Amino acid sequence: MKKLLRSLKDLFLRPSVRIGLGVLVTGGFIAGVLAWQGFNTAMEATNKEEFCISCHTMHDNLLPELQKTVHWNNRTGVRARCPDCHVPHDFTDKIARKMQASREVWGHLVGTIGTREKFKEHRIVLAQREWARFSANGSKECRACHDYKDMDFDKMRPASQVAMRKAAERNQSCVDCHKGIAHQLPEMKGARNPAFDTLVSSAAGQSVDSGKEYFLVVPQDLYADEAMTKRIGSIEVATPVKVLETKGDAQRVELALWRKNKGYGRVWYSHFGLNITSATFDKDIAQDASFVKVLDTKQDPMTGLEWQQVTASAWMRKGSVLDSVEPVWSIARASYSSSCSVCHRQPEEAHFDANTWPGLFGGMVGFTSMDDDTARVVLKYLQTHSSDFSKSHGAGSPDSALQTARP
Amino acid sequence: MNNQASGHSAPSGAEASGRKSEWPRFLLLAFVGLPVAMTLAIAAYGFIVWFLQILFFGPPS
Repeated sequence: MKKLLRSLKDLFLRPSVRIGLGVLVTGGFIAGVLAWQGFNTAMEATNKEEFCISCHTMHDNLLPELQKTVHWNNRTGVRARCPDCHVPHDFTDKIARKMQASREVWGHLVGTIGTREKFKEHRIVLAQREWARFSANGSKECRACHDYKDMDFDKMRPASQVAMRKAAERNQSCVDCHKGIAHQLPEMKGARNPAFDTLVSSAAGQSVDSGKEYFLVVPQDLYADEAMTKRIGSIEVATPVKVLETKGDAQRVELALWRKNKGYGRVWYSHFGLNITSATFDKDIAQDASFVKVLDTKQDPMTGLEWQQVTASAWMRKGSVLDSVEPVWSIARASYSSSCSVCHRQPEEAHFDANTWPGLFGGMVGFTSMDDDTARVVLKYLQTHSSDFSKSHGAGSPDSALQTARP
Repeated sequence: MNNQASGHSAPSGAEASGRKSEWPRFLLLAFVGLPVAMTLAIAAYGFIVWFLQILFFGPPS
């Protein structure tokens, strides 16, 4: 080690005896030029489409998708190549991104997304990583070509104008709305909202006393027996239940809900007259008088339908309830405000009533990236915070006037 | 660069060997050693920025 240090010191500090200063400097200059040029050539080579698709994962999965889009070919002949969108253009960010690619090299060696199936399964992770990057930098790479300041809004279709002018005003990130512009969107059906994981783990730590009321944090199957072999229905998230007893992995809960006395009465709702789905049963069970106890019967003046207040008890897997519903709502609230405000100003929860929300929400949810579980929670959140429940929109407010004026 | 340097360095007073190996040392340092050092430095810089992004800054804005 000492020897090495001394020879280095020698190398840098002892003047050369045989080589002239000019030759040294010129030689160093030439070496510097070549080195920098070589570095740039290497940077450029690794920033070429050919380089990206030389790996079979990119070539087999992403190239065919890109080839179907306007970013591959179009009437003007201007096109985007992989790095135009996916590699930052500034030096520092670019170098950081290149080093980040070591992770991709590792993934390639290990085969994380080696097959089409694995790729599709993993795609949501990749997409979310890229979406997060675009939302942080305001879709800077998109805007190298498509910047708001260079857009002639008058040449857009009227519908596009409305959206684009507003987006320009807010300087909004392109990918907020244009997800899946150059590749297929990930399959969101099976995707999990990571926010639920914390909810599930706090539910696992919840101590449960028999006879008290709790709220479901995830949808659960309901069973007739404590061994949980005979499935009779399912219960929705945020539904209140009274825990009767806990045996092993199973928990017997009592549900006190409402249903329409029409058809089989399979779907149970949390409130009289409001279509807030809370549980669903198999039809023979829903008709079984020994299982379902009808406590009360009321007619909904709005629809003329007869509603029954019903109660029943069933078994479900333990560890999925919390003593407060608020953590569920805070996830829903966060999803609602982040997903909906992307394209428009989201309405107040209490702007609509509980029976209007499902139709509205069902029409819009397809434009968002919510997975099924999140969508259900958000809808329920909206319904239970709708004008039917809101104190600020009490009698006399325009909304409640509208609601009572409903035919 | 190191091999070269250590290969040479043994006798500190041996001017003759110093003179002989001056050219190879110069060429190796200029065309191999320093370019490699530059690449490593840039890679290290990239990694540092990346780790800072993971830990503190989040993705570049």
